[in-house]
Amino acid sequence: MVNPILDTDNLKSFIESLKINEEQKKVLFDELPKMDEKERLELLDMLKNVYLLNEEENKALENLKSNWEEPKE
Amino acid sequence: MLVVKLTNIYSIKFIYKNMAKTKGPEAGPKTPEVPQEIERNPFYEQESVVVKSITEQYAKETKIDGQEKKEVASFLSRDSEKVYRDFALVWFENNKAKITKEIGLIPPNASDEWKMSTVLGSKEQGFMGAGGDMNKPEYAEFRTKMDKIGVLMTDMKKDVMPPATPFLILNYLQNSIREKENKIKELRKSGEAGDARDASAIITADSLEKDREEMYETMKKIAGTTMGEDLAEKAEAKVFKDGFKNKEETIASKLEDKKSEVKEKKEQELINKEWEAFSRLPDKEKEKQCIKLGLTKESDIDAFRDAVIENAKKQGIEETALYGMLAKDYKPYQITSSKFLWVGKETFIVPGPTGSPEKMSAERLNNLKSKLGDNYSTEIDSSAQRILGREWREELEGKITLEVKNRVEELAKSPEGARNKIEKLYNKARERITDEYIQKFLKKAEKTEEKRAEIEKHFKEKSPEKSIKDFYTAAIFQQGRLENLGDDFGDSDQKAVGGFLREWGIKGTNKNILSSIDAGAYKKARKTQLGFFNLIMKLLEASLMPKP
Repeated sequence: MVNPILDTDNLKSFIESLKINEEQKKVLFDELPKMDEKERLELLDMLKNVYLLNEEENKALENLKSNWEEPKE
Repeated sequence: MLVVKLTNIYSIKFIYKNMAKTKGPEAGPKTPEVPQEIERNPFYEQESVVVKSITEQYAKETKIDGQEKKEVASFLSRDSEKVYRDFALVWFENNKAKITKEIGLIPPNASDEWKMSTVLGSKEQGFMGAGGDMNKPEYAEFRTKMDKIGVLMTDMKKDVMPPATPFLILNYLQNSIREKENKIKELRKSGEAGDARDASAIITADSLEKDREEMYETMKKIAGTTMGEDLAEKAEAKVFKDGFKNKEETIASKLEDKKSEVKEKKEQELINKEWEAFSRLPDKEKEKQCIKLGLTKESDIDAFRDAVIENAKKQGIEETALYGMLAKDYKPYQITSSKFLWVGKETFIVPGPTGSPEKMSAERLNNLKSKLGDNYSTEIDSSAQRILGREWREELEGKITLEVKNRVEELAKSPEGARNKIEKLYNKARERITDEYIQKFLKKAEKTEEKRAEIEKHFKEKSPEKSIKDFYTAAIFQQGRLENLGDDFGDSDQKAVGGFLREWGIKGTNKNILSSIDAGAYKKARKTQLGFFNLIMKLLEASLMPKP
């Protein structure tokens, strides 16, 4: 039985939640239903890296926002 | 927040450590240095190796080099010293009674250094040890400043700085520059007021001015590196785009006016020189010259100029030749002539650069005035061109400097540019790892790795200047023509695909190859990106390696 975390709908909604461009999303959505478990694991590994980049980007933007000082006159 | 706290505790301890080495009112605290023990940002440390390597790769694009880091660290260090100094002086004013009670009488006219030592020096050494009071709410202003400095100092020590840091440095330096500018204004005002602090106010203002210029130069470098831009080059392009004319056009449009200006100035100089020589003549000689030129003792320089022009004209010398001759130290307004009846030729006596007048025939004089007149015109023309060229360059440089300053300030004043750049960097990283995954997946789906390698080899031979990786990307993500193919792979579809392959240097795609694709198989294949990609691969293989 395929791990539920790797089912098509779960992976699709994970992909949707990430900042991946539309063309790339389309390819992933096209191929996802045909992927076996091993391929889904590999996809998840890549998505995990994209997720970490999203998190890191948020952290960088938060850092910018909280440490930015309005210009003095 | 943890980083901030630890950095500040470290800085305060550092001050104590230095204070403990010296004792006495003259022993001031030393400049705080960049902390050696760095608190790493836990987020970066915990990243997976993969993401870390990606981060490092794109962070190179915003990497500030060692020299810039040193410069920033030095500014931060100086600023932190100032924060401690200001804090100590405020604390001193607020706690005079306490100081008197604990360490005795405060000397009259105690220097700022004495106050700093007393406030920040450790209790064990007999001072007030009040550095820690910076944490109290009433001194929050100083604490906030030190927090900011502490965070940036920590980041300066990292090999790969967090992406926001270069922009935060720009923002910090811009505000520090503005503070310095306000202080400079204040000091200059005090310097002009004529009180006893004149000299020291002016010296401090000059020193702040120097700091400000150094800071701006560093900001310029950081802004360029951070945005991956050659700021000057970009500014120059913008200046021209906004309508600044090129050198040739500018010179052509202003040349006549500039020539008149240069000519007027040059002629004034030449007349002044003659007038000065004339004014220095001994009285008797001057009287003689006055009679000759039709002047009186009271005549001024304007009358002298008119007389010079008039007398030269009498000898057939027009103004351009006159000034050309004056420029070469001839005195055409003093030329005399004599005609020898028996020879019938006129001889001219021309006072010239050698000191003794030269005898010249009419022909020689004509040649001389024509040559020197022409030279003079040419010189005026080239001098006007030179000046216009220099003015054009100066104006351009001024505009470029202003554009660069605006760009640097734009980045330092608004977080928008920083936000856009950070988002762009992360988008690029995300796109790259997703694309790499898709390429790898599609390659695997093709199964025949050997065949793939063979196709790639042939592709390289047929189209050495193109990258097969780019071809794959174009085949998968092609916008437009290939996306709009019909369902039956008819003539127009075959033409579009053939055209696409030819654009990539694959010229062997003929009608036979294209029509060999079965309409049914095609219809099925193009339902998914992978199917379509494989179809393109089949055509590519058939075109590159036609079967005998």
